[in-house]
Order: sequence, then structure tokens, then C-alpha cells
Amino acid sequence: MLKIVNEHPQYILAKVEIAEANLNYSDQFKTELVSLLKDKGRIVLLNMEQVTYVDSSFLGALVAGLKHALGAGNDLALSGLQKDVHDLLKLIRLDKVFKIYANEQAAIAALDQ
Amino acid sequence: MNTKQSFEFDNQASSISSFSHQLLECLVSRLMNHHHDGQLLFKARYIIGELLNNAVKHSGCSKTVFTLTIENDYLTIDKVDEGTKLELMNKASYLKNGVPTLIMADGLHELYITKESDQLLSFFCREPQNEEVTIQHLHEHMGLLIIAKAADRFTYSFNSPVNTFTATVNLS
Repeated sequence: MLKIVNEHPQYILAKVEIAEANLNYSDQFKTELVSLLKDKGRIVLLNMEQVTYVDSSFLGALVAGLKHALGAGNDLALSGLQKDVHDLLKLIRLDKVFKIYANEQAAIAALDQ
Repeated sequence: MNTKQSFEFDNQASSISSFSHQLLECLVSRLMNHHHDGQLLFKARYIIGELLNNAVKHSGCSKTVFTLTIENDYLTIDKVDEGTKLELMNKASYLKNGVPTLIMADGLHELYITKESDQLLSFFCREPQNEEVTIQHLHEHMGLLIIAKAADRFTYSFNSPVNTFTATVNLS
């Protein structure tokens, strides 16, 4: 579900490889995300361009990942959000706690600064 | 044109996606002759999705009936089952009618219930201003919050043994 596409000394780029991120996948996603954060000990950037829908259970997994990342002195950032997904994050104000980039290139440019 | 249509859900997580698409396709066809902004289907999709999650995770029964009603410029989504009573309802006897009670706060939101009668609770949400957000205190369970924010009115009623969640969205 989470595929590492690039390992940089400061960050990991990973792609979320599901379209409908709902209850059926949230537990597995949370396990994979927390493992990735623990194992790599770096900032994780999730490319979510394939994701057309997220539900509350998946958002909960993202928030759990963010807590884990920040608690360890790292971060969890998102890129490539489709309009409905971005609108949902804005609706419940999670855009105020996640760093969100238009695409992977924009995220990398910000992280490289 | 006023319309009403009901659908039976089997409360299985594996059915969420197909059932949600079935309801949304119905809505799209029923709304063809109604003027509405682009946000309506966005709101309906997330309300339906979270009510389905609620059915799978909390109903404790094998069947839930969803009813979509379009009437007088309002879309109403009802979720009805005869399963487990919402735990918050157990606290309702201690609440005063019409007085909001805070049930969740995390710096981004405050979620309240108001007892409207012995059988009816309504939910509403407030966004605190200038509140310090502590990431470690953020809530990870956001289903009721999403519905309360997407709907113009969101209620829960219990008339033993029937649980009914009702979300209403103004079409205009």
C-alpha cells in the first residue's frame, strides 16, 4: 500500500497506492506508515496523487503518523492531493497541521532548502 | 420534484465502496433537475461514507437502512438500524434541554451535543479562534465531526429499539 520511491539522506518519498482510502485499508496503512517512520527515522513525504477518497479512519491513521513523526523530531508531509481530498482536509482543518505540497517536485524543492 | 429512496446495507466493510457509489449515483440522477452548487455531492459523499463507517464499526447488527430524501430544497440522509444505542444517549438524561454540552475539543474543533428532547440529540461544531493546537492532542476519530461539519443539521434519535442518524444539507 505504501511504496518507497526515493530514499534521500534527509527524507523518504513514498507513494500511497490505493484509490479509495477507507476503513478496509486504514489499519494496514497505519501499521506500514508507523513502521516506515520508525525504521527510517527521517521526514516522510507521502505522494497521494492516486488517492481519490479518504475517510475518517484513514485520516486518523495520518494523524497518528504525524504524531509519531513529530514526537521523534521528524515530520510527515503530503503531496498531490486531489481536490476532494484537499477540500476534506480543509473542512476539518487538518491543512493547518500537515505540510501540504501541490506535487512531489514542490515538496522536494521545499525540503531541499 | 420531491423524491425518496431507501437502500439496505449489510454492515460489511467490504461493501462500503460499492454501496456508497450506488447511493451517489442515485443522488446524481435525482439532483439533475435541482439547482445546487458543486459542494453538495462532496458533502453528501463524505456524510454517506462516515455513516457507513459508523454502521460497520458501531451498529452491532447486520442491517442498516439508508434513505435519501430530496424535498423542499433539502437533501436528507437517514441511517436507521435496530442495533446498539449511541453511548452518548446514556448521558442525555443528565443534560438540560437546549443547553450545548462539549463532547470533544482538540484545538482545531469543539464538538457539542444538544439535547432537543428525551429521544433527540443534535450535533454542532465550533472552530475555536486563536487556540493553540497541540499535535499530540489531536483526535484520531473524526467521523461524527466530519458529518457535523458537512451537514447543515445533524441529529441522532433513539426510539427503542430504533437508532436514527439524520444529516440534512441545504441544496442551495
